[in-house]
Amino acid sequence: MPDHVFARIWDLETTGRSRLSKNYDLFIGGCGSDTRAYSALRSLVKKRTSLGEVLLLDFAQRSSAIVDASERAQYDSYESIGPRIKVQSCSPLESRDMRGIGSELLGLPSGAKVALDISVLTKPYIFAVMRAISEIPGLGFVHVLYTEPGRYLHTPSGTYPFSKGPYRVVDIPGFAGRLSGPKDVLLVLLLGFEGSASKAVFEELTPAKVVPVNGFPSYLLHYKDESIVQNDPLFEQVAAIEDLQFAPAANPFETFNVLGDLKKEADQLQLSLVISPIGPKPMALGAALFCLHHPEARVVYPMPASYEGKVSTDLGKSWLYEVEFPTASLPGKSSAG
Amino acid sequence: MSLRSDTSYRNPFEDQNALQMNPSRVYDLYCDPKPLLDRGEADFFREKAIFFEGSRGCGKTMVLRHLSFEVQSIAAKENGVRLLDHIQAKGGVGFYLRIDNARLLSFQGPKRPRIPWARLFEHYFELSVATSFVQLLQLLQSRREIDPDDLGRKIARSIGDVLGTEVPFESFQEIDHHIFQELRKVEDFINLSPYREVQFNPTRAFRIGSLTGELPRLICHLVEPLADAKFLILIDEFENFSEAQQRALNSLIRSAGPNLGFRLAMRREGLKTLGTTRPSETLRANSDFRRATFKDVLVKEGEYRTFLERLADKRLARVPFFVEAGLTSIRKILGEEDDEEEARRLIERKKDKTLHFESLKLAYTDPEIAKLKESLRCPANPLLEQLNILYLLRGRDATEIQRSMTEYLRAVEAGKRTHRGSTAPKLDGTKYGWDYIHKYKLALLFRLTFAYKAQKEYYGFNVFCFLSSGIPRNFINLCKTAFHQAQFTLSEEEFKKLGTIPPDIQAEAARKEAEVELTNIASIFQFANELSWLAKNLGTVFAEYHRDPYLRYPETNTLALDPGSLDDYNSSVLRAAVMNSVIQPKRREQKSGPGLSILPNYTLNRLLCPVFNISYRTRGGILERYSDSEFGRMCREEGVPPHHLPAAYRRSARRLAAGRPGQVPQHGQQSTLDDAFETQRR
Repeated sequence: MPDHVFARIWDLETTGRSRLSKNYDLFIGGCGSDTRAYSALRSLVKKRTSLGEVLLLDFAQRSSAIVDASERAQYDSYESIGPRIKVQSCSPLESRDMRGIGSELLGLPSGAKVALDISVLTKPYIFAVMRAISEIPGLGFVHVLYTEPGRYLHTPSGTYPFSKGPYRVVDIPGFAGRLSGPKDVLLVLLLGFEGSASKAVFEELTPAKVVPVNGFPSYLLHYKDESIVQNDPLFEQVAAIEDLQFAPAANPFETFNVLGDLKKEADQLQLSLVISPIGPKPMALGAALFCLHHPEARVVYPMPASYEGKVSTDLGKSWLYEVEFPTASLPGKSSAG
Repeated sequence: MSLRSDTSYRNPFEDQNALQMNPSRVYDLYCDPKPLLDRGEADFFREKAIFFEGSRGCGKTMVLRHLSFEVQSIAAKENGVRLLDHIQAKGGVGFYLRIDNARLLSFQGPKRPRIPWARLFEHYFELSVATSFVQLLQLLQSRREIDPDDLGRKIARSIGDVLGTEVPFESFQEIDHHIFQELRKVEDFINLSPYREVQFNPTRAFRIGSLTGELPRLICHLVEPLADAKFLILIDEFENFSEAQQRALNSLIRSAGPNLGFRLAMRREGLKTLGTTRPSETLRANSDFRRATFKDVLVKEGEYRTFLERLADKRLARVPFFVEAGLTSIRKILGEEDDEEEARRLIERKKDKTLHFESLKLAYTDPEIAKLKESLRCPANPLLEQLNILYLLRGRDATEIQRSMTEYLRAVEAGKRTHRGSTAPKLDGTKYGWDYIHKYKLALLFRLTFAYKAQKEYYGFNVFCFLSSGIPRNFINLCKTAFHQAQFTLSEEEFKKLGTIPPDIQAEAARKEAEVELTNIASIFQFANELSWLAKNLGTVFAEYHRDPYLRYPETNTLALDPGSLDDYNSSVLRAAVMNSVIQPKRREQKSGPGLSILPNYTLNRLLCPVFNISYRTRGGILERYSDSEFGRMCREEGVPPHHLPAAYRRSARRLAAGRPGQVPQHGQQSTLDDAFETQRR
């Protein structure tokens, strides 16, 4: 089980283009009204990439939050993209049964080519889909695509309301970690722009140690340190700024490596490692990959009452991550007992 | 040099959460919570089942962790006795168990047939408790209180039989490993079942009680000094258990033998059911369990203060900086509040030092006010000026007021007792003193702060005790923030020389804590919006009473409510408000006003007082009383105006507060406001 991995990451506008396959057996993405929602799918279709099946996850809480007609039109615009698209409705709040997605994936032939666009997937589903993908027999690697937002929408007071309502902290299905490990916790908070989310997680777990991880470098220069600013109450009350660690916001492999170091620290301190992926999606992807290799790590997520319909606009950079699944060595593949 | 650079300095109140403390810290800081509960530590070891109920931060976790074998083993060591003897003397020892809410929710997985989640939880629970038993046995063995080759092996074999293993165990390590493997099977099932069909094949599936019931019996039988001991299952945050999970535990309590006890800690209203897994069977209060409720705001003030003092002094005594500087008394460091001094400080900072006389515009003309100012000023004590204003607004004669004040001041100067009670209508020095000291002093200070659009300074040991609202963690948090502010404001020498934290620093800390508390209400999972509005609306209503220039109902900060009159929704909101200590019930029911029926009373969490600039103590008098619909409105943005202040007055008071006085009536004429006031009084 590796503690460190090498980055396999390409800019899709330049070197990444040639890395893309000419055909994918399955493309998985999410529905959304952000400009970037279907950007990768459109791009693949435009390139005449052969797509066996396209599965889009339609999140009930996000869809129901849309009131604006133009947002709705953008949300539904996948219908005009072209290939046969299957839309599966799902709910991050009720994500405990993932077998619907699992069956789509389990039907794939050994060695199938899968592309996963995480740009607008909710974070619990990034984990869930990664877990489901890891169950595909003989899968070598997956192409994960990510399009950064041009900019995030924020309130006049400078906060980023990506979700609504108070949080209920839950285990992400399939990532409940060890029940038999040490009682005391080292909590790794992959910081995001919603400070109250980190605080909710802290209060639920009351860890022995907290390590906040800031996405740095950020997608864009003006988001530098924004997570730290938005998490000011956390630093003021519970977390030490000296414990702050960094991993590039757009590089999941570096998050994997940082988590590897923190895992060693947790082991030394005889603490259970618990990760909360609140921040950038590529960091959540890195955490998901790490936890697939280290099932003793637990993942908790502050589930909001509902999601905002649209949280960003315009397009930023697009990335291709080549994620390897050494399925034979992945733990947790045998039946329980 | 700043305090920050001093290596011996550490904020004594830094760690305020018992969950995050190691066992020796718990042992060091624990104080017997007898003043907060009806009974103390001595009973905690021997009774069958106690349900500790109380607000977040009231000390439930500290009590449970103190009873745990990890902490009791330190106590035994400190007392120089064997742990076995210590347990025998105490009558029992406990196993602390906290299962966080996220984990509990994992045991309510996909709703599919053939997955009995409740059974899986029982199995997990039994294995978790068994792990704790084994850890205790391993500790006893490591201290050579159990011989591994003789008694140890005998116990290990017996436990193996209970666990249903084919090969007998020879050591506690083998049992530990076996349980670890069994827990892995539960983990794997939880992690894989959301994705595919998966079999669950434990060595033996345990129903609730099959291990927790059997292991104590077995150990008490084999380990002679523990023959009469009680093993306590200490469960924290029981309110997070689902109803089915609570039922399972209730069954266990109901059927527990003499060597098994339970200490469950939960928030108020956290007990979802008294039912068990058998439909016809329920837990019986005082027979199967005793309820021990942490007394929020109702604790006897003296005892509660002493408890907080002891709790804080223990912390101070463990930081070298404070020990070396002789600063080990929280009472001295925080000092006492001084309302008169605060009033002087407030006025000193202002350009116009007679702004509080502006409220006389409700009854007097400007030339009259100018004249009154001359005769009724008392710059040495602005609170007396404020009292004079109150008397004037209530129709007293200026000459009479001036004479009484003079008498009172002379008596003070002569060191005479000045404030005997008097019901006589005539104002004299004695009545003046009584009104000032016993009835209005603090209310006058609040009125003064409103007149100057300033904030009341909340500082001093007593005030911090009040603000903590019966919740020790609130007190620790207040101290933590005050010491933190001091750390960044004072130099080491200054701090040592002062020996106290200045009022303005304390007040800033109190305000900060109050704001954090209000913000935290918005993140309560259930009814966050309703509870936020309830807190804000109540605070605003109570502030109106404090702003009233006539001080008709001084320091009103309590509401009366009949929970039985509320509909289901409002009733749930009320329960959530109490559970999360947004409002706190007072034990004794009280009339909400003359001629009104007796109803349950609630106070707004006193920690919030600095946000609204209202009083932190409870005085008799009128209560805000809400019907079902009014309570519903208080939980929404619209709110309900104060019941006992006339609407016309409220508008004027707001104009005054905004510096735009309304039409001023001529002296001698009754204003419409006074009419309203008189009507109200009649």
